[in-house]
Amino acid sequence: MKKLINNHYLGLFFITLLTWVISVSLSNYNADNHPKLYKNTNGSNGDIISINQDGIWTLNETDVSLWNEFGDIQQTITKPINTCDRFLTNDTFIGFYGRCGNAFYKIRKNIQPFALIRTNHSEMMDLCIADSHLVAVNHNALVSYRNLKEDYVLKVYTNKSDANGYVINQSQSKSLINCFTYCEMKKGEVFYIDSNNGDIKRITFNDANISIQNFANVFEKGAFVYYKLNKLSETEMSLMIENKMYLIEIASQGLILKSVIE
Amino acid sequence: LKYTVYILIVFIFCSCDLESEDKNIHSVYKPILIENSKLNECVFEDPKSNNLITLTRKIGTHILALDYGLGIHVIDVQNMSQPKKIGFYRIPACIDFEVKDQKVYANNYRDFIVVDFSNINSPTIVKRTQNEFSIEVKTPDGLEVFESLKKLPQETTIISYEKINQ
Repeated sequence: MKKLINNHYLGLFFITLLTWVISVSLSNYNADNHPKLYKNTNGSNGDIISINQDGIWTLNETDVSLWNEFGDIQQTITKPINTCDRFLTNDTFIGFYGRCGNAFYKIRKNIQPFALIRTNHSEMMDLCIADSHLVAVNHNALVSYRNLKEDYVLKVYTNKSDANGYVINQSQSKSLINCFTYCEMKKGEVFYIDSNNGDIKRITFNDANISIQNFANVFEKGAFVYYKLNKLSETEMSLMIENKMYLIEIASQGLILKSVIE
Repeated sequence: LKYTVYILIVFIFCSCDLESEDKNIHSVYKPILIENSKLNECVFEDPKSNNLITLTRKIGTHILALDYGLGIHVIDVQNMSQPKKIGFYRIPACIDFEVKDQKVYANNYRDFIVVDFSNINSPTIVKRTQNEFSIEVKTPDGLEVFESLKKLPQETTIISYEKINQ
C-alpha cells in the first residue's frame, strides 16, 4: 500500500511537473514577448487622414477611403493587408507595411491598388516623399530612394557590400528604445533625427550624389524621447520632443532655432 | 483529502507565472481617461501647456499643433521668434488631422469630423460622420501599460497618455 502511495506521489509529481512546464512554455509563446517597434502614435494605429489633389484619404482597420471636402465618402476600397501607414504624392495614395516593412502600395483615385513595390528594407520606421522621390528610413538607419513614377529603384546607396542602403548611423549599439527614427523631406533633401544621439542630419541628394550634413548635439541625448519633425514650409520646421515644440528655420548655413513652445 | 491536496499542488504550480511584470518592458505612460458622455465634446478653450505634440500644420500665420489625443493648440507665429498660443481646440482621442482650405479634417475618437477654422478664434464643426475608425488610442511608445493601469472605470475611454512620473 505504501509503495502504491509512493508511486502515486511520484506519478502526480511528474504530471505536475509536466503541466507546469507546458504552461510556462505556452505563456512564453506569446508575440508580446518580442520587441515591439512601432512607428510612434500614428503608425501603431494606422494613419487616418491625408490630403492630396484627389481629396481626403483615410485609413482604418479595414478600408482606405477617399472623401470630398464636405466629409462625404467618394470611394472605399479594401485596404491591402497589413498596410499601416499612408503617404501621399499629389495624385497617388501610398500605403506601406509598417513592422513587416517590405512593401509599398500605390493607389489612385477610382482604381484598386495597382502597384506593389517590394523593398529589401525591413521594419521601415518612416518614409518621406517629395515630388516623385521616396526615401525610406528604418531602424538600422538605411536610406534609399525611388522614382515613383517609373516604379523602380532609382538609386540605392550603400557603404556595405551586402546591404541595399546607405548606412547613416555607424553605431552598432542600438537598443530597443533609442532606435526610433523620423524624417521630413523637401525636394531633394531629408532631415533625419538620429535618435541614438539626438543629432539632426540633413541629407541632400540628387540622381548622382548623396551628402550628409550633421548638426551634432542639437538636442538631448540618450534617454528615450519622443521625436517628430514636421515641415511647416520650405524654410520652416517644427520638432517635437515630448512636451516641447521647437520652431526651426532652415537656412543654407544650417538649422536655426527660432523659439521653443511649451 | 489526499486527492484534494494533489489537485491544489497542481493548481498552485500551474498558477506560477514566471513572466512577471518586471521581465516585460512596459510603457512609461499612463492613460488619460474621459467619461464616455464627454467623448464628442469639441470646444475651443483657453491656451494650455503641451503634453505630447505629435503633429503640426500651418494654416495662414498660425500653427496648429496636435496634442496627442487631447486636441489642437492654436499658435500665432506671425513672428516666428515670438510665438503666442491663442487657444486650444479640444478634440478627445484625436490622433491625426490634416488641413485643407481653412478646414481641419480630423478624427474625434472613432468619428470623422470636419472643422471650419476660417475664424481661428471660433472653430466650428461642419460635418461629423460617426464610427468611421476602429481606433484604440495606444501608448506613444507602442508598449503595453502596466497591468495595474489596465482596469478602467466604467463608462470611460482612453483618449491619450501622460508620463507616469508627471
